Amino acid sequence: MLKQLAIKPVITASARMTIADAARAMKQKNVGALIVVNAGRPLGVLTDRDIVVDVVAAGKDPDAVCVSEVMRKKPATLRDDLGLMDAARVFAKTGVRRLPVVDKTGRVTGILSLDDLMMLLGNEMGFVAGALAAGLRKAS
Amino acid sequence: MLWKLCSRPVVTVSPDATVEEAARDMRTKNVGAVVVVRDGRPAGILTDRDVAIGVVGRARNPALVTVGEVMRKNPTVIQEHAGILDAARLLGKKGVRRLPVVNTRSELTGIISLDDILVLLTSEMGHIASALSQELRRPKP
Repeated sequence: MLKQLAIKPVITASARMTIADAARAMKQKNVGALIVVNAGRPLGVLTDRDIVVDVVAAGKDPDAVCVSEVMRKKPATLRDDLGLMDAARVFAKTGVRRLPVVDKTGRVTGILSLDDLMMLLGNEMGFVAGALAAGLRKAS
Repeated sequence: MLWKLCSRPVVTVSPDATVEEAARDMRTKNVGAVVVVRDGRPAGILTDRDVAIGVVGRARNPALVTVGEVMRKNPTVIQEHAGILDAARLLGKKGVRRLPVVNTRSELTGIISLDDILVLLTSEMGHIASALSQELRRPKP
């Protein structure tokens, strides 16, 4: 279940923060995305790329733009009792790289990225490959 | 060989461009990284993340900072005649997500990313999976 797998701490932000503060938080916490919350519930997702494309490239002042203007609103979420395969299906449907993980009351408990998912599935594949290799050795 | 696989054109900028100009290229060309080129050769790489963290996150003005100041210098490159597994190994060893691709004269000819390689390898996996499932469907002799 994602509850056990979405292990990285989720960094949250408020919708009223400035983009300059959000970028500073991304730098300090070394993350590429912030989950924007209100009373623990996800309002949006802000990524480092959103800052570049919607603020820097547009020539806007990061101190004068707030997070709510740039974040992707009403993100799809992943329930923390889903499994990896369910999560993969949700990613395929939404076409985004990161999704907030929520508990059954809708509160944010984590974040899962496509990279995390790839790493977890890749590890599983490694186990399968190991089992196949052991079988081949036994057969020869 | 990589030169057959680097399907996307590589977006280049000069080290003297401003970070704001580079960000505009990232937006209009829909890429996450630009290769900084001097005399046709890769001198650095600048990603959207470098812009967000290294410039905005440090309260520097993207219109006044040049690409040369914040780019990652002397990026690891890969020869265009290398194979996809060589590229995968090099990415793993260096812990980077993208490699500029160069010819024998060290001139930039493309870029390959971890995502490109994952897509290629997993589509190969799909072919293996369909071979296995055809075998399963075949009536037992």
